[in-house]
Amino acid sequence: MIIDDNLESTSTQSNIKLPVNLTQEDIEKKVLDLVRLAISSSVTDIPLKREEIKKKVIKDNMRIFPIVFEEAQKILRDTYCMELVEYPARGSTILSINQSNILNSQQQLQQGDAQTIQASQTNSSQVSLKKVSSKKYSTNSYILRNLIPGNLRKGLIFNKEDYQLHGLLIIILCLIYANGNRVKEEIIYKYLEKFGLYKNIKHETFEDVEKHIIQFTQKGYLEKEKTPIPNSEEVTYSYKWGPRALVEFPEKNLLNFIKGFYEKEEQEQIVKELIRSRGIN
Amino acid sequence: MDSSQNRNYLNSLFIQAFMAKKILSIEETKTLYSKICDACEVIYSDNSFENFMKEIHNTLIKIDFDIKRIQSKSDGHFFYIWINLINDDFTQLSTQYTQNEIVIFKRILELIMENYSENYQLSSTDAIREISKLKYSFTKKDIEALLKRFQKDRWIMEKEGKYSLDIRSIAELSEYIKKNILNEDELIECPICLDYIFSNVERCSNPDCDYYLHTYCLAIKFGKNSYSKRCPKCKELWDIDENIISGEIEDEDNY
Ligand SMILES: [Zn+2]
Ligand SMILES: [Zn+2]
Repeated sequence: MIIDDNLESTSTQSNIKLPVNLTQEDIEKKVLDLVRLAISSSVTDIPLKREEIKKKVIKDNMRIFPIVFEEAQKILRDTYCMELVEYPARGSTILSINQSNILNSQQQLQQGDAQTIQASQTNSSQVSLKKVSSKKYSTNSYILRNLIPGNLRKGLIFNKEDYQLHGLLIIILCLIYANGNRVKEEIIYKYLEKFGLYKNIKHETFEDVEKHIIQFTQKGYLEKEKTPIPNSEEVTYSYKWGPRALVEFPEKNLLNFIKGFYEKEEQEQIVKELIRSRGIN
Repeated sequence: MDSSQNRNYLNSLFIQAFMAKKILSIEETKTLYSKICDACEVIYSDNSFENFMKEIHNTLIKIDFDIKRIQSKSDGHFFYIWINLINDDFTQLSTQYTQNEIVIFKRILELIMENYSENYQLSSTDAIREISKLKYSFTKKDIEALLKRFQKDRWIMEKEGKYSLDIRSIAELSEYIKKNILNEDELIECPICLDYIFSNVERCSNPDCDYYLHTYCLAIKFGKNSYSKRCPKCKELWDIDENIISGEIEDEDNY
Protein backbone atom coordinates (compact mmCIF):
# COMPACT_ATOMS: atom_id res chain seq x y z
CA MET A 1 0.00 0.00 0.00
CA ILE A 2 1.22 3.44 -0.85
CA ILE A 3 0.67 6.02 1.81
CA ASP A 4 0.07 9.35 0.23
CA ASP A 5 -0.69 12.51 2.11
CA ASN A 6 -2.73 13.79 -0.79
CA LEU A 7 -5.32 11.09 -0.36
CA GLU A 8 -8.44 12.35 1.24
CA SER A 9 -8.50 9.13 3.16
CA THR A 10 -6.11 6.22 3.48
CA SER A 11 -8.56 3.87 5.07
CA THR A 12 -9.37 0.56 3.46
CA GLN A 13 -12.54 -0.63 1.81
CA SER A 14 -14.28 -1.76 4.98
CA ASN A 15 -14.76 1.70 6.35
CA ILE A 16 -15.55 3.70 3.23
CA LYS A 17 -19.08 4.11 2.01
CA LEU A 18 -19.57 3.96 -1.72
CA PRO A 19 -20.98 7.17 -3.10
CA VAL A 20 -24.67 6.56 -3.77
CA ASN A 21 -24.44 6.81 -7.53
CA LEU A 22 -21.75 4.09 -7.77
CA THR A 23 -22.47 0.38 -7.66
CA GLN A 24 -20.07 -2.42 -6.83
CA GLU A 25 -19.91 -3.21 -10.57
CA ASP A 26 -18.84 0.34 -11.34
CA ILE A 27 -16.01 -0.06 -8.89
CA GLU A 28 -14.99 -3.42 -10.34
CA LYS A 29 -14.90 -1.92 -13.80
CA LYS A 30 -12.69 0.92 -12.59
CA VAL A 31 -10.40 -1.58 -10.88
CA LEU A 32 -9.88 -3.43 -14.17
CA ASP A 33 -9.40 -0.12 -15.99
CA LEU A 34 -6.63 0.75 -13.57
CA VAL A 35 -4.98 -2.67 -13.98
CA ARG A 36 -5.10 -2.14 -17.74
CA LEU A 37 -3.61 1.33 -17.44
CA ALA A 38 -0.84 0.02 -15.18
CA ILE A 39 0.01 -2.80 -17.59
CA SER A 40 0.04 -0.30 -20.49
CA SER A 41 2.40 1.92 -18.56
CA SER A 42 4.76 -1.00 -18.17
CA VAL A 43 4.59 -1.64 -21.90
CA THR A 44 5.51 1.96 -22.64
CA ASP A 45 7.91 2.33 -19.70
CA ILE A 46 6.44 5.70 -18.75
CA PRO A 47 5.49 6.45 -15.11
CA LEU A 48 1.76 6.50 -14.49
CA LYS A 49 0.58 9.87 -13.25
CA ARG A 50 -2.04 10.19 -10.54
CA GLU A 51 -3.71 12.82 -12.71
CA GLU A 52 -3.99 10.25 -15.50
CA ILE A 53 -5.58 7.71 -13.16
CA LYS A 54 -8.04 10.40 -12.15
CA LYS A 55 -8.85 11.32 -15.73
CA LYS A 56 -9.01 7.87 -17.28
CA VAL A 57 -10.20 5.67 -14.41
CA ILE A 58 -11.71 7.42 -11.43
CA LYS A 59 -13.30 10.24 -13.44
CA ASP A 60 -15.64 11.88 -10.93
CA ASN A 61 -15.20 11.03 -7.31
CA MET A 62 -11.63 10.90 -5.96
CA ARG A 63 -12.92 9.50 -2.68
CA ILE A 64 -13.05 6.06 -4.26
CA PHE A 65 -9.38 6.29 -5.27
CA PRO A 66 -8.08 4.25 -2.28
CA ILE A 67 -10.59 1.42 -2.85
CA VAL A 68 -9.93 1.21 -6.57
CA PHE A 69 -6.18 1.47 -6.05
CA GLU A 70 -6.07 -1.29 -3.42
CA GLU A 71 -8.24 -3.69 -5.42
CA ALA A 72 -6.15 -3.08 -8.55
CA GLN A 73 -2.99 -3.74 -6.52
CA LYS A 74 -4.42 -7.10 -5.45
CA ILE A 75 -5.01 -8.15 -9.06
CA LEU A 76 -1.63 -6.83 -10.16
CA ARG A 77 0.10 -8.78 -7.39
CA ASP A 78 -1.87 -12.02 -7.72
CA THR A 79 -2.18 -12.27 -11.49
CA TYR A 80 0.72 -10.28 -12.89
CA CYS A 81 3.24 -10.39 -10.02
CA MET A 82 3.77 -6.68 -10.20
CA GLU A 83 2.75 -3.81 -7.98
CA LEU A 84 2.49 -0.08 -8.29
CA VAL A 85 4.94 1.88 -6.21
CA GLU A 86 5.28 5.59 -6.01
CA TYR A 87 7.95 6.92 -8.32
CA PRO A 88 10.53 8.42 -5.98
CA ALA A 89 11.25 12.10 -6.20
CA ARG A 90 14.58 13.32 -7.48
CA GLY A 91 17.05 13.34 -4.67
CA SER A 92 15.49 10.45 -2.76
CA THR A 93 18.16 8.40 -1.07
CA ILE A 94 18.81 4.70 -1.23
CA LEU A 95 18.32 4.48 2.53
CA SER A 96 14.92 6.16 2.68
CA ILE A 97 13.55 4.14 -0.22
CA ASN A 98 14.67 0.88 1.31
CA GLN A 99 13.05 1.80 4.56
CA SER A 100 9.79 2.72 2.93
CA ASN A 101 9.83 -0.55 0.99
CA ILE A 102 10.25 -2.50 4.19
CA LEU A 103 7.40 -0.55 5.71
CA ASN A 104 5.22 -1.18 2.69
CA SER A 105 5.67 -4.91 2.93
CA GLN A 106 4.94 -4.78 6.63
CA GLN A 107 1.74 -2.99 5.87
CA GLN A 108 0.76 -5.53 3.26
CA LEU A 109 0.87 -8.16 5.97
CA GLN A 110 -1.27 -6.03 8.20
CA GLN A 111 -3.78 -5.03 5.58
CA GLY A 112 -7.27 -4.56 6.89
CA ASP A 113 -6.07 -4.30 10.41
CA ALA A 114 -6.55 -0.61 10.94
CA GLN A 115 -5.35 -0.65 14.50
CA THR A 116 -1.97 -2.10 13.63
CA ILE A 117 -1.50 0.39 10.83
CA GLN A 118 -2.33 3.22 13.18
CA ALA A 119 0.11 1.85 15.70
CA SER A 120 2.82 1.62 13.08
CA GLN A 121 2.30 5.24 12.17
CA THR A 122 4.01 6.21 15.37
CA ASN A 123 7.08 4.10 14.75
CA SER A 124 10.21 5.78 13.60
CA SER A 125 10.52 4.49 10.03
CA GLN A 126 7.15 6.00 9.28
CA VAL A 127 8.81 9.34 9.75
CA SER A 128 11.22 8.73 6.89
CA LEU A 129 8.42 7.40 4.69
CA LYS A 130 6.43 10.54 5.35
CA LYS A 131 9.43 12.47 4.25
CA VAL A 132 9.63 10.56 0.98
CA SER A 133 5.99 10.88 0.07
CA SER A 134 5.04 14.13 1.72
CA LYS A 135 3.55 16.83 -0.47
CA LYS A 136 6.84 18.53 -0.96
CA TYR A 137 8.57 15.47 -2.34
CA SER A 138 5.69 13.54 -3.83
CA THR A 139 5.96 12.88 -7.55
CA ASN A 140 2.33 11.82 -7.82
CA SER A 141 3.38 9.12 -10.26
CA TYR A 142 3.69 5.38 -10.02
CA ILE A 143 5.72 2.72 -11.72
CA LEU A 144 5.35 -1.04 -11.67
CA ARG A 145 7.73 -3.07 -9.58
CA ASN A 146 8.30 -6.66 -10.55
CA LEU A 147 7.64 -9.19 -7.79
CA ILE A 148 9.00 -12.25 -9.61
CA PRO A 149 12.36 -13.26 -8.13
CA GLY A 150 15.27 -12.34 -10.40
CA ASN A 151 16.59 -15.90 -10.58
CA LEU A 152 13.33 -17.02 -12.23
CA ARG A 153 13.32 -14.18 -14.72
CA LYS A 154 16.90 -14.73 -15.80
CA GLY A 155 17.18 -15.43 -19.52
CA LEU A 156 13.44 -15.24 -20.10
CA ILE A 157 12.35 -11.65 -20.19
CA PHE A 158 15.25 -9.85 -21.73
CA ASN A 159 16.59 -10.37 -25.19
CA LYS A 160 20.33 -10.46 -25.59
CA GLU A 161 20.83 -6.72 -26.15
CA ASP A 162 18.67 -5.79 -23.17
CA TYR A 163 20.65 -8.21 -21.06
CA GLN A 164 23.96 -6.66 -22.00
CA LEU A 165 22.64 -3.17 -21.34
CA HIS A 166 21.27 -4.36 -18.02
CA GLY A 167 24.78 -5.56 -17.13
CA LEU A 168 26.28 -2.19 -18.02
CA LEU A 169 23.68 -0.42 -15.90
CA ILE A 170 24.34 -2.66 -12.89
CA ILE A 171 28.07 -2.01 -13.12
CA ILE A 172 27.46 1.74 -13.08
CA LEU A 173 24.94 1.53 -10.23
CA CYS A 174 27.36 -0.58 -8.18
CA LEU A 175 30.11 1.93 -8.75
CA ILE A 176 27.89 4.79 -7.61
CA TYR A 177 26.58 2.81 -4.66
CA ALA A 178 30.03 1.90 -3.43
CA ASN A 179 31.06 5.54 -3.56
CA GLY A 180 28.43 7.05 -1.34
CA ASN A 181 25.83 7.57 -4.09
CA ARG A 182 27.65 10.27 -5.98
CA VAL A 183 30.36 9.80 -8.58
CA LYS A 184 31.88 12.39 -10.87
CA GLU A 185 31.21 11.88 -14.54
CA GLU A 186 34.86 11.54 -15.52
CA ILE A 187 35.41 8.90 -12.79
CA ILE A 188 32.62 6.80 -14.26
CA TYR A 189 34.21 6.88 -17.70
CA LYS A 190 37.63 6.17 -16.23
CA TYR A 191 36.21 3.19 -14.38
CA LEU A 192 34.45 1.90 -17.50
CA GLU A 193 37.81 1.90 -19.31
CA LYS A 194 38.70 -1.10 -17.15
CA PHE A 195 35.96 -2.92 -19.02
CA GLY A 196 37.27 -1.78 -22.37
CA LEU A 197 34.61 0.90 -22.76
CA TYR A 198 35.90 4.27 -23.91
CA LYS A 199 34.01 7.51 -24.36
CA ASN A 200 34.07 8.49 -28.06
CA ILE A 201 35.38 5.10 -29.19
CA LYS A 202 32.92 2.73 -30.78
CA HIS A 203 32.61 -0.45 -28.71
CA GLU A 204 31.97 -3.83 -30.30
CA THR A 205 28.85 -4.57 -28.23
CA PHE A 206 27.71 -1.25 -26.84
CA GLU A 207 28.84 1.02 -29.67
CA ASP A 208 28.44 4.48 -28.10
CA VAL A 209 28.67 4.22 -24.29
CA GLU A 210 27.79 7.85 -23.75
CA LYS A 211 24.52 7.36 -25.60
CA HIS A 212 23.54 4.59 -23.20
CA ILE A 213 24.37 6.67 -20.16
CA ILE A 214 22.19 9.46 -21.53
CA GLN A 215 19.38 6.95 -22.03
CA PHE A 216 19.76 5.53 -18.52
CA THR A 217 19.41 9.08 -17.26
CA GLN A 218 16.36 9.82 -19.41
CA LYS A 219 14.69 6.65 -18.21
CA GLY A 220 15.30 7.60 -14.59
CA TYR A 221 17.90 4.97 -13.72
CA LEU A 222 20.58 7.60 -13.22
CA GLU A 223 20.38 11.17 -12.04
CA LYS A 224 22.82 13.74 -13.34
CA GLU A 225 23.80 16.58 -11.05
CA LYS A 226 25.56 19.83 -11.78
CA THR A 227 28.04 21.18 -9.27
CA PRO A 228 29.69 24.56 -9.80
CA ILE A 229 33.40 24.67 -9.16
CA PRO A 230 34.06 27.34 -6.51
CA ASN A 231 35.74 30.54 -7.77
CA SER A 232 35.31 29.47 -11.37
CA GLU A 233 32.87 29.68 -14.26
CA GLU A 234 33.04 25.95 -14.85
CA VAL A 235 30.84 23.17 -13.52
CA THR A 236 31.34 19.47 -12.93
CA TYR A 237 28.77 16.76 -13.36
CA SER A 238 28.19 13.77 -11.15
CA TYR A 239 25.82 10.85 -11.25
CA LYS A 240 23.54 9.44 -8.57
CA TRP A 241 21.00 6.67 -8.47
CA GLY A 242 17.87 7.77 -10.31
CA PRO A 243 14.31 7.26 -9.04
CA ARG A 244 13.68 4.18 -11.17
CA ALA A 245 16.84 2.44 -9.97
CA LEU A 246 15.75 3.02 -6.38
CA VAL A 247 12.55 1.10 -7.07
CA GLU A 248 13.87 -1.61 -9.35
CA PHE A 249 17.13 -2.54 -7.65
CA PRO A 250 16.58 -3.47 -4.00
CA GLU A 251 19.66 -2.79 -1.92
CA LYS A 252 19.78 -6.39 -0.68
CA ASN A 253 20.10 -7.81 -4.23
CA LEU A 254 22.78 -5.34 -5.12
CA LEU A 255 24.81 -6.21 -2.03
CA ASN A 256 24.54 -9.89 -2.91
CA PHE A 257 25.70 -9.09 -6.42
CA ILE A 258 28.75 -7.18 -5.22
CA LYS A 259 29.48 -9.80 -2.57
CA GLY A 260 29.85 -12.36 -5.36
CA PHE A 261 33.09 -10.71 -6.47
CA TYR A 262 34.81 -11.32 -3.14
CA GLU A 263 36.19 -14.33 -1.28
CA LYS A 264 33.90 -15.82 1.35
CA GLU A 265 35.92 -14.60 4.32
CA GLU A 266 35.93 -11.01 2.98
CA GLN A 267 32.24 -10.81 2.21
CA GLU A 268 30.91 -9.82 5.61
CA GLN A 269 33.42 -7.02 5.94
CA ILE A 270 32.67 -5.72 2.44
CA VAL A 271 28.95 -5.56 3.09
CA LYS A 272 29.54 -3.66 6.32
CA GLU A 273 31.76 -1.15 4.57
CA LEU A 274 29.34 -0.71 1.73
CA ILE A 275 26.43 -0.07 4.04
CA ARG A 276 28.51 2.48 5.88
CA SER A 277 29.44 4.29 2.68
CA ARG A 278 26.09 4.20 0.88
CA GLY A 279 24.36 7.34 -0.15
CA ILE A 280 22.84 9.07 2.80
CA ASN A 281 22.19 12.67 2.03
CA MET B 1 13.64 -21.95 -3.10
CA ASP B 2 10.39 -23.77 -2.39
CA SER B 3 9.18 -25.33 -5.64
CA SER B 4 5.51 -25.14 -4.73
CA GLN B 5 6.06 -21.39 -4.60
CA ASN B 6 7.76 -21.21 -7.98
CA ARG B 7 4.73 -22.83 -9.57
CA ASN B 8 2.69 -19.73 -8.69
CA TYR B 9 4.82 -17.62 -10.99
CA LEU B 10 4.09 -19.68 -14.13
CA ASN B 11 1.36 -17.48 -15.64
CA SER B 12 2.74 -14.11 -14.62
CA LEU B 13 6.22 -15.01 -15.79
CA PHE B 14 4.85 -16.05 -19.15
CA ILE B 15 2.81 -12.85 -19.50
CA GLN B 16 5.77 -10.67 -18.56
CA ALA B 17 8.13 -12.52 -20.89
CA PHE B 18 5.68 -12.37 -23.77
CA MET B 19 5.01 -8.67 -23.19
CA ALA B 20 8.70 -8.04 -23.66
CA LYS B 21 8.75 -9.89 -26.99
CA LYS B 22 5.30 -9.05 -28.45
CA ILE B 23 5.55 -11.51 -31.34
CA LEU B 24 6.79 -15.10 -31.44
CA SER B 25 6.27 -17.99 -33.81
CA ILE B 26 4.37 -21.00 -32.49
CA GLU B 27 7.65 -22.88 -32.01
CA GLU B 28 9.24 -19.97 -30.15
CA THR B 29 6.17 -19.62 -27.95
CA LYS B 30 6.32 -23.31 -27.05
CA THR B 31 10.03 -23.03 -26.30
CA LEU B 32 9.38 -20.04 -24.06
CA TYR B 33 6.59 -21.92 -22.28
CA SER B 34 8.76 -24.98 -21.72
CA LYS B 35 11.63 -22.85 -20.38
CA ILE B 36 9.24 -21.17 -17.98
CA CYS B 37 7.88 -24.57 -16.93
CA ASP B 38 11.47 -25.56 -16.15
CA ALA B 39 12.12 -22.44 -14.13
CA CYS B 40 8.86 -22.86 -12.21
CA GLU B 41 9.39 -26.60 -11.76
CA VAL B 42 6.23 -27.55 -13.59
CA ILE B 43 6.22 -30.54 -15.95
CA TYR B 44 5.96 -29.44 -19.57
CA SER B 45 3.81 -31.20 -22.12
CA ASP B 46 2.63 -30.26 -25.61
CA ASN B 47 -0.95 -30.96 -24.53
CA SER B 48 -0.80 -28.59 -21.61
CA PHE B 49 0.37 -25.80 -23.93
CA GLU B 50 -3.04 -25.28 -25.60
CA ASN B 51 -4.82 -25.14 -22.27
CA PHE B 52 -2.20 -22.84 -20.86
CA MET B 53 -2.65 -20.39 -23.76
CA LYS B 54 -6.41 -20.46 -23.19
CA GLU B 55 -5.88 -19.61 -19.54
CA ILE B 56 -3.61 -16.70 -20.48
CA HIS B 57 -6.21 -15.51 -22.98
CA ASN B 58 -8.94 -15.59 -20.33
CA THR B 59 -6.78 -13.57 -17.97
CA LEU B 60 -5.78 -10.92 -20.46
CA ILE B 61 -9.12 -10.24 -22.13
CA LYS B 62 -10.45 -9.01 -18.78
CA ILE B 63 -8.25 -5.98 -19.26
CA ASP B 64 -8.64 -5.79 -23.05
CA PHE B 65 -5.32 -7.29 -23.97
CA ASP B 66 -4.79 -10.64 -25.64
CA ILE B 67 -2.14 -12.97 -26.99
CA LYS B 68 -3.71 -14.03 -30.25
CA ARG B 69 -2.75 -16.80 -32.61
CA ILE B 70 -2.56 -15.37 -36.10
CA GLN B 71 -1.78 -17.06 -39.39
CA SER B 72 0.39 -15.30 -41.90
CA LYS B 73 -1.50 -14.78 -45.16
CA SER B 74 1.69 -15.00 -47.15
CA ASP B 75 3.14 -18.35 -46.09
CA GLY B 76 0.61 -19.79 -43.64
CA HIS B 77 2.94 -19.79 -40.63
CA PHE B 78 1.34 -19.27 -37.24
CA PHE B 79 2.40 -16.61 -34.77
CA TYR B 80 1.37 -15.50 -31.33
CA ILE B 81 1.06 -11.74 -31.06
CA TRP B 82 0.50 -9.48 -28.06
CA ILE B 83 -2.59 -7.45 -28.90
CA ASN B 84 -4.13 -4.36 -27.42
CA LEU B 85 -7.86 -4.87 -27.99
CA ILE B 86 -8.61 -1.17 -27.66
CA ASN B 87 -6.11 0.47 -29.90
CA ASP B 88 -6.74 3.97 -31.09
CA ASP B 89 -3.53 5.55 -29.93
CA PHE B 90 -0.81 3.25 -31.29
CA THR B 91 0.49 2.51 -27.80
CA GLN B 92 2.15 -0.65 -29.04
CA LEU B 93 4.58 1.40 -31.04
CA SER B 94 5.41 3.87 -28.32
CA THR B 95 7.95 1.65 -26.56
CA GLN B 96 10.27 1.55 -29.51
CA TYR B 97 9.40 4.61 -31.52
CA THR B 98 9.36 8.34 -30.92
CA GLN B 99 6.23 10.43 -31.52
CA ASN B 100 7.52 11.59 -34.92
CA GLU B 101 8.31 8.04 -35.94
CA ILE B 102 4.77 6.99 -35.01
CA VAL B 103 3.35 9.79 -37.16
CA ILE B 104 5.47 8.49 -40.01
CA PHE B 105 4.20 4.97 -39.42
CA LYS B 106 0.58 6.19 -39.51
CA ARG B 107 1.27 7.94 -42.80
CA ILE B 108 2.82 4.77 -44.28
CA LEU B 109 -0.19 2.79 -43.11
CA GLU B 110 -2.57 5.23 -44.82
CA LEU B 111 -0.56 5.29 -48.03
CA ILE B 112 -0.44 1.53 -48.23
CA MET B 113 -4.17 1.15 -47.59
CA GLU B 114 -5.09 3.93 -50.01
CA ASN B 115 -3.20 2.06 -52.72
CA TYR B 116 -6.19 -0.10 -53.41
CA SER B 117 -5.43 -0.37 -57.10
CA GLU B 118 -1.87 -1.47 -56.37
CA ASN B 119 -3.09 -4.34 -54.18
CA TYR B 120 -2.23 -2.43 -51.00
CA GLN B 121 1.40 -1.96 -51.85
CA LEU B 122 3.56 1.13 -51.77
CA SER B 123 6.78 1.51 -53.71
CA SER B 124 9.79 2.46 -51.63
CA THR B 125 10.42 5.59 -53.72
CA ASP B 126 6.85 6.78 -53.09
CA ALA B 127 7.26 5.98 -49.42
CA ILE B 128 10.42 8.06 -49.09
CA ARG B 129 8.95 10.93 -51.13
CA GLU B 130 5.80 11.08 -49.03
CA ILE B 131 7.65 10.90 -45.71
CA SER B 132 9.96 13.71 -46.81
CA LYS B 133 6.85 15.86 -47.27
CA LEU B 134 6.14 15.57 -43.55
CA LYS B 135 8.99 18.04 -43.04
CA TYR B 136 10.73 16.27 -40.21
CA SER B 137 14.49 16.61 -40.16
CA PHE B 138 14.89 13.06 -41.43
CA THR B 139 17.45 12.44 -44.13
CA LYS B 140 16.81 9.82 -46.80
CA LYS B 141 19.16 7.55 -44.88
CA ASP B 142 17.22 8.07 -41.63
CA ILE B 143 13.97 7.23 -43.38
CA GLU B 144 15.43 4.08 -44.86
CA ALA B 145 16.73 3.01 -41.46
CA LEU B 146 13.32 3.65 -39.92
CA LEU B 147 11.56 1.62 -42.60
CA LYS B 148 14.01 -1.20 -41.87
CA ARG B 149 13.03 -1.06 -38.20
CA PHE B 150 9.33 -1.22 -39.07
CA GLN B 151 10.16 -4.32 -41.07
CA LYS B 152 12.24 -5.93 -38.35
CA ASP B 153 9.41 -5.45 -35.85
CA ARG B 154 7.03 -6.93 -38.42
CA TRP B 155 4.78 -3.93 -38.89
CA ILE B 156 5.49 -3.78 -42.62
CA MET B 157 7.19 -6.06 -45.11
CA GLU B 158 9.09 -5.38 -48.28
CA LYS B 159 9.03 -7.42 -51.45
CA GLU B 160 10.58 -6.39 -54.76
CA GLY B 161 10.84 -2.76 -53.71
CA LYS B 162 7.27 -2.54 -52.47
CA TYR B 163 5.96 -2.22 -48.93
CA SER B 164 2.84 -3.87 -47.61
CA LEU B 165 1.44 -4.57 -44.15
CA ASP B 166 3.05 -7.36 -42.16
CA ILE B 167 1.49 -9.61 -39.59
CA ARG B 168 1.62 -7.28 -36.58
CA SER B 169 -0.27 -4.55 -38.37
CA ILE B 170 -2.84 -7.10 -39.51
CA ALA B 171 -3.19 -8.48 -36.00
CA GLU B 172 -3.23 -5.19 -34.20
CA LEU B 173 -4.56 -2.58 -36.57
CA SER B 174 -7.29 -4.28 -38.62
CA GLU B 175 -9.95 -2.60 -36.48
CA TYR B 176 -8.24 0.75 -36.80
CA ILE B 177 -8.04 0.40 -40.59
CA LYS B 178 -11.70 -0.56 -40.83
CA LYS B 179 -12.75 2.36 -38.68
CA ASN B 180 -10.42 5.10 -39.86
CA ILE B 181 -8.96 4.40 -43.27
CA LEU B 182 -11.21 2.27 -45.46
CA ASN B 183 -14.89 2.77 -46.13
CA GLU B 184 -17.32 -0.08 -45.65
CA ASP B 185 -17.63 -0.60 -49.41
CA GLU B 186 -13.86 -0.72 -49.84
CA LEU B 187 -13.42 -3.78 -47.62
CA ILE B 188 -12.72 -7.01 -49.47
CA GLU B 189 -13.41 -10.30 -47.77
CA CYS B 190 -11.29 -13.29 -48.70
CA PRO B 191 -13.65 -16.07 -49.85
CA ILE B 192 -11.30 -18.75 -48.49
CA CYS B 193 -10.51 -17.66 -44.92
CA LEU B 194 -13.31 -15.07 -44.60
CA ASP B 195 -10.93 -12.46 -43.14
CA TYR B 196 -10.69 -9.06 -44.74
CA ILE B 197 -7.82 -8.65 -47.17
CA PHE B 198 -5.31 -5.99 -46.14
CA SER B 199 -2.13 -7.50 -47.51
CA ASN B 200 -0.83 -10.40 -49.61
CA VAL B 201 -3.49 -9.68 -52.19
CA GLU B 202 -3.88 -11.94 -55.23
CA ARG B 203 -6.23 -10.92 -58.01
CA CYS B 204 -7.67 -13.07 -60.77
CA SER B 205 -5.42 -12.99 -63.83
CA ASN B 206 -8.39 -12.04 -66.00
CA PRO B 207 -8.22 -8.21 -66.02
CA ASP B 208 -12.01 -7.92 -66.23
CA CYS B 209 -12.57 -10.02 -63.11
CA ASP B 210 -12.38 -8.73 -59.54
CA TYR B 211 -11.97 -11.97 -57.64
CA TYR B 212 -9.49 -11.44 -54.77
CA LEU B 213 -7.93 -13.70 -52.17
CA HIS B 214 -4.84 -13.93 -49.95
CA THR B 215 -1.57 -15.33 -51.28
CA TYR B 216 -1.62 -18.18 -48.79
CA CYS B 217 -5.31 -18.86 -49.45
CA LEU B 218 -4.54 -19.00 -53.18
CA ALA B 219 -1.82 -21.57 -52.50
CA ILE B 220 -4.33 -23.68 -50.57
CA LYS B 221 -7.04 -23.32 -53.20
CA PHE B 222 -4.91 -24.06 -56.25
CA GLY B 223 -2.37 -26.27 -54.51
CA LYS B 224 -1.24 -29.79 -55.44
CA ASN B 225 -4.51 -31.53 -54.73
CA SER B 226 -6.79 -28.89 -56.16
CA TYR B 227 -9.61 -29.96 -58.37
CA SER B 228 -9.65 -27.01 -60.74
CA LYS B 229 -7.31 -24.20 -61.73
CA ARG B 230 -10.19 -21.98 -62.84
CA CYS B 231 -11.33 -18.77 -61.15
CA PRO B 232 -14.53 -19.49 -59.21
CA LYS B 233 -16.05 -16.23 -60.43
CA CYS B 234 -15.22 -15.79 -64.15
CA LYS B 235 -14.35 -19.46 -64.77
CA GLU B 236 -11.24 -18.45 -66.72
CA LEU B 237 -8.05 -20.44 -66.23
CA TRP B 238 -6.07 -18.75 -63.43
CA ASP B 239 -2.48 -17.97 -64.41
CA ILE B 240 -0.73 -18.92 -61.17
CA ASP B 241 2.81 -18.09 -60.15
CA GLU B 242 4.20 -21.58 -59.47
CA ASN B 243 6.39 -20.20 -56.66
CA ILE B 244 3.31 -19.50 -54.59
CA ILE B 245 2.07 -23.07 -54.76
CA SER B 246 5.41 -24.79 -54.44
CA GLY B 247 6.38 -22.58 -51.51
CA GLU B 248 6.51 -24.29 -48.19
CA ILE B 249 2.96 -24.67 -46.98
CA GLU B 250 2.23 -25.01 -43.33
CA ASP B 251 0.32 -28.15 -42.51
CA GLU B 252 -3.07 -26.98 -41.30
CA ASP B 253 -3.04 -29.39 -38.37
CA ASN B 254 0.34 -28.23 -37.25
CA TYR B 255 -0.42 -25.88 -34.39
ZN1 LIG C 1 -7.70 -15.57 -47.08
ZN1 LIG D 1 -11.74 -14.39 -62.31
